[in-house]
Amino acid sequence: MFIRWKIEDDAGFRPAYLAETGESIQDNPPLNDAETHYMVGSSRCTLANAANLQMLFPDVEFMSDYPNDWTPKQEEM
Amino acid sequence: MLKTGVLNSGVLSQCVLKQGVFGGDDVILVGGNASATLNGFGSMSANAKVIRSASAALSGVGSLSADANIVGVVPPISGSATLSGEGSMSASARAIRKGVATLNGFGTVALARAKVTRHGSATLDGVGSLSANATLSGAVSLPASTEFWLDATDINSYDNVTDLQTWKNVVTSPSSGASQITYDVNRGTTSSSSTDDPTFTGTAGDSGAYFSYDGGDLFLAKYTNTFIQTLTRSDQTNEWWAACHFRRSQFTGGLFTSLFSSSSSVVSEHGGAFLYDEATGDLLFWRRNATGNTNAITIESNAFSLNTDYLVIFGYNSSTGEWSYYKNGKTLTASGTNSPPTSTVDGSDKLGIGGADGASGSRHPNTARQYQFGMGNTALTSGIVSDIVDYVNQQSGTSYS
Repeated sequence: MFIRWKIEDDAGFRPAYLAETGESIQDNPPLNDAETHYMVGSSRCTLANAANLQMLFPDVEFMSDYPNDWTPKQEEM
Repeated sequence: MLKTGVLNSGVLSQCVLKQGVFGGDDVILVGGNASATLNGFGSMSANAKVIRSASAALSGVGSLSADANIVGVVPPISGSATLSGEGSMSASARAIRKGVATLNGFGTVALARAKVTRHGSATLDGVGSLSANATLSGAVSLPASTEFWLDATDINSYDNVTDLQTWKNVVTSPSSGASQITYDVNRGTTSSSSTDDPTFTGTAGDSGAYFSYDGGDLFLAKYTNTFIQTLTRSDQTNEWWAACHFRRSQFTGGLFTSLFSSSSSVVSEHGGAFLYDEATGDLLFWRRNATGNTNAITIESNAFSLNTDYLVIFGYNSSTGEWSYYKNGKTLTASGTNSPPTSTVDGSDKLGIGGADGASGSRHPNTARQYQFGMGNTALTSGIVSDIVDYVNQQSGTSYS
């Protein structure tokens, strides 16, 4: 399951995700190049978890496939 | 007691099954207890699978048909599994045994493509025979210089039951004298379940097992240690090697993918990284000293194709800058010398595999895989490369040559 959410939803979404799935969201999740969204993959988040979270955060996307329109932020080493 | 009948996909503990027939795709777990025995005139059809725990035995006039699997001793690894008597294995049958496994008596490995792979102190004795193109590969060990080895196919490294967050070093006595657990790594950045954890895929201890990345995952060492912190110090003659067996999946869209790293993205941090440049397709060994000076060696141009497995082995001398590189086998792919930036202090970051400590980028793309990763603390030689290649072939069932 891939989960994508807006940066402005981050503070509220993190504790809700942890409470729902028992899994924390990493400190520095991948950010898109436009710096508007985070996205993570999870093998632990179930469809039922996604449905519950979707009710609380309707703008958060839960996707079974890696989205083709995701462009990660370019980072120097 | 089941005397006459059909048992499909059952679990047997401390039992004796005689004259049984296992049909296609059946999985018989003789597990959890010592002294379980499958003997007599049993036979297993295609795709049948027997998983045995310590001291389990398959004896008598048993036979294995095509694609049947025997997965030997699961923990404890010290058990003494035995396939004895007049057993035979047909084409494509495969026995994978660990510990002090023995194949003896009048056993026959028949027909082309049959394969017996054994780990530990295995022996084949008696009047055994191997038919054309059958492969009997004996026990292969890691090089003596191995400092640590992380292996998705080794149940001692990851059993998918206990301590799910830790990928364990299987080298009990690291070459430098460091303790074994010094090199254990977390799935993800912490020891708690998180979205940056690579996903274990397959059966613990099976040659087909691996960890899968999703684009934001990595392994991060649990501890800092001297070996990693001094990897690129130019004032010390540190000679070391690294071996990484992985799958390159797709373009990340980012700048780099890190196969492994001893440094974060912090500019003042000393360390190095083995990187794939997503823009140019080049494999780089990148170094930075504590004053922020960086230097990158192009190891190979257009190094990796998409959706393909690779075994890369890299050797480096931190004081002379000499390096050597082997890809997918025992033949030298490239070598050179490149003066490193002056670096006279230890780094403070932890080893990252598939990413870097403190950096959110440079992660392996979605569906990339990690099979094994290990390092050693001597100069890389052709003998060491040969041992590593043979060991990976033994573990993952690959045929790098």
